[in-house]
Amino acid sequence: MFGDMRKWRLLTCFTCIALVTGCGMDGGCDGGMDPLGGMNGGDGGDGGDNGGGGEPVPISQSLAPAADALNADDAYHLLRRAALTGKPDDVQRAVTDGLTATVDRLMTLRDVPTGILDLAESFEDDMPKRWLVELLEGPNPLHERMTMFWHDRFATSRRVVDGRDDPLAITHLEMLRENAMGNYRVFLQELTLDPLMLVWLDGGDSPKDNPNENYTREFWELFTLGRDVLYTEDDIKEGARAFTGTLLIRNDNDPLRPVFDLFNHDETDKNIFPGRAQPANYNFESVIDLTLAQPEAAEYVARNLFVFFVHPNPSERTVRELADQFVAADFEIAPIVRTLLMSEAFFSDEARHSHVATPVEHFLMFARTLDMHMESEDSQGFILNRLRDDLRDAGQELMNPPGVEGWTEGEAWLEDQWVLNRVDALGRFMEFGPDREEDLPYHLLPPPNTWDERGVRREIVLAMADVFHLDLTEDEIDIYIEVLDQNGFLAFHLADADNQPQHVREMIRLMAMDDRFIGF
Amino acid sequence: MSSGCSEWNRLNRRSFLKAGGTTLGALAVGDAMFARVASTYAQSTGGTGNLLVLCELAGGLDALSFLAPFTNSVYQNRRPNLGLAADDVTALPDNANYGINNQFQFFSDLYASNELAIVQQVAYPNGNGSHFESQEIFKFGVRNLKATDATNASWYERLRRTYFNEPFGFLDTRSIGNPQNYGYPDSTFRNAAQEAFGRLARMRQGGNATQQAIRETYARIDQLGADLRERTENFTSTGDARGEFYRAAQLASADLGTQIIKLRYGGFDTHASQNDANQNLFPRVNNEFEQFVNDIKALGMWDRTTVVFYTEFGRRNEENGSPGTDHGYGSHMILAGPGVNAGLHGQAVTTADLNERSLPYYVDFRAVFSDCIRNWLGFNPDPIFKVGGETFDEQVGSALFS
Repeated sequence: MFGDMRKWRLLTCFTCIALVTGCGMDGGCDGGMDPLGGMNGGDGGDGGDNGGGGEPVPISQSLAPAADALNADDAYHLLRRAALTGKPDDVQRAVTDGLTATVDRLMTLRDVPTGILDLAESFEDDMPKRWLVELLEGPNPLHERMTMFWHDRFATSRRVVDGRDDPLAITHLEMLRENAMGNYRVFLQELTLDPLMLVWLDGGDSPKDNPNENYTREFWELFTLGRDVLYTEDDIKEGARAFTGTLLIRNDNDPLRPVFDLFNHDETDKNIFPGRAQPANYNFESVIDLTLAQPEAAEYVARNLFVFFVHPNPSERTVRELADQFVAADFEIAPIVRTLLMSEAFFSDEARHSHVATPVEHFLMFARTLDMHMESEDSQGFILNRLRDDLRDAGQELMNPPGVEGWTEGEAWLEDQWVLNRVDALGRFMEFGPDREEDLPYHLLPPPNTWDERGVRREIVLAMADVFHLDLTEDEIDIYIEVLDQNGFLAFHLADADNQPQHVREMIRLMAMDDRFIGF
Repeated sequence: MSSGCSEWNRLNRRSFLKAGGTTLGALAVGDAMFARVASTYAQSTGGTGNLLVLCELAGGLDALSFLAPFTNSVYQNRRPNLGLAADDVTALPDNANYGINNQFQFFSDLYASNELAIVQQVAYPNGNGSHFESQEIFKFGVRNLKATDATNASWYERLRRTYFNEPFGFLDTRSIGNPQNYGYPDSTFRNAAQEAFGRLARMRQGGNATQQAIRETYARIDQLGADLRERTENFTSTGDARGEFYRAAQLASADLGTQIIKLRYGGFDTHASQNDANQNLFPRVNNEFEQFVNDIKALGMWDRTTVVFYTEFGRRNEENGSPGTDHGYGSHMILAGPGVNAGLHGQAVTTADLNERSLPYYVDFRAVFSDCIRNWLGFNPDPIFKVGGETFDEQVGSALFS
């Protein structure tokens, strides 16, 4: 009666066909599609073309392609928002290549170099550390960023498992990464069957005679529709029956494994979204299909992605336009990401500095911008431990979100203590560089053998301000020079050469807290 | 006492303005943020201005090892190794069947001087055996953690935002750490980076609302750090202990309009060798608390202070083979201070309760905190706990404040 997942997935293909056919015959699925068609028809038919007959769309809401030419600030904005990097070389290259080529490059998936893979895997299921290595060193920053996006939206914690089930966090991360830029429908199917998710939201403990509503509720509230959108408490009861049948079993001492037990799936009809669809014998795949057939589902993803990449205030019209594209692309995620990154709205004033970087985003932008890496023997252990703790104390421990709703957002990140703990996280690499010698991004600074010249203080400040794209006033420059001088205790150019790096580190770290950097 | 309170507020308002003047001199001229931040130090309007100290006993306090029904044979039978005998406790003056563990001698003293209230058998419905989840329920004040936005902030932080929205209205000893070091972490010789952090935030203009919010946060942090450092500098304790209660006394002495101080002692999760563990833990909490009360008295603040001890759940009635006790359900909440209605509250532990696997619960913890909010701090607790359709039994059964 237990089949393994692979066999069972073959089986469900048949089930699925049968279901879809059944739906078509009694009109259930068609009923679900109707509102979408109706909405398209009623939208004046301008198809999102800003130049069409409708009202003009403000730039901040325009999904039309932006100009291909990028200035340095545009390129910096694009790279930071899309890939959490502001590395000067990358910025220069984006300016040279233009928007289309840069987005193409960002979206191209590259193989992870063996050395980085080995380093990441050396941490096994020590998840925050393993993922931090991949986040910082991996060659696919946009894909990793999307993986983090989904991790926040489908927030699942490793804290519900331990011991032999610890590797489930790896499985979960790989599932997120595989699907992050893939097909949303497939993603939802794999998410539903993910063993860590089955533990986290009790999907693996939902027998047909006593279904658990936990997963069903979050599936609609957080994963597909939004709170109190469309679904009712009755839908949750019915949906929970549709999601029955998934179990977790264990062979010997292996981690838990999902299986489908037909005898534990409620095979009777479920009446879900009664105004939209007829009762049918839904299983988890067909309930996903039913959900995606509702226009609210595509709009939910469209709104979330717009807010994540562009700014917090998309208009309903823009959301609908993006949602229509999403449906037309059969729920492929990558084309929507491309539309957003290339849109006029993306480069509008409203989008610039509209995000408060989370602690992990802030750290990644900082380290990537300065081109600092995890490479020494030391940084593979000691620093990563400290970094993990600093980021946790700053409010964000990957693979351990505070709850099913994921992390806090926007200005809610500005808790005093969280902010202060970021400072430690930012300084961590520089503070304990290779062989625990203080390290600095020397390639971005005037040569150290000139640091005993008085005028070099200003050069250092301006060089780093340039890297962070900070247009400093004279007063601000003076304050940074004071920090280099350590408040007049000993002027930087007179300081012991051994002490100078620490002064520079303090100045860089302070700059990275500027509202123009943390606000990205 | 109410006239004493307002006198206290007035005096401290004045002393703050004086201290504020000193602070101002140390800052660069033209720091526009300063006036705005400083003006928020005022005491809340509408409330009593009293201080509520929340002491979390993390891990699960064994209520039966705090207040022992030592004359009950079921208690002794279920705890052959861990049961407290007559010699181990001080019987309550008003109920000879229950005694406070002598390791909590100071609590007995307070009970005798009518400054201690014990609310017996407290928890919340459908108890969860997970430390993490149960602690979060006590922290957020809601049972269904996912069901509501309330989980974005603890109930005490929500209380601050609702009624006394001042930067220092609520302080947690664990997030402040040593107040003498509080602020932007800095390794420069003269705190140059720390000073620059605040100056830059106040100096810069422009940007969008998000950027302004970032700078306001920095300015607030800078101000909080400066004030905490300055105003705790001369604090001297009456004792030598330097634990969490010492930190709490330091923060109370800073007089920053703080109405809630949170602190936490861990180590109560005594699955094994419970007697050995308690032998160290209980006297430490007892002694550090006694020092705190002495410090607060020396500051002249005891009249307006209530300390509440609480834990995420109790422990099993029967000891295990280790010998310790596993995760249980109901436990006691303890309120200390001159304002409390001293004595026993809630449901006394009966033989029937002791025959259960764990002590049940008769009082919802939110009813106790609601009483504190309403009758000690002077605010309406409903917006704090009745969120997202959350309901609970609001009856303690007796008044916790006299």
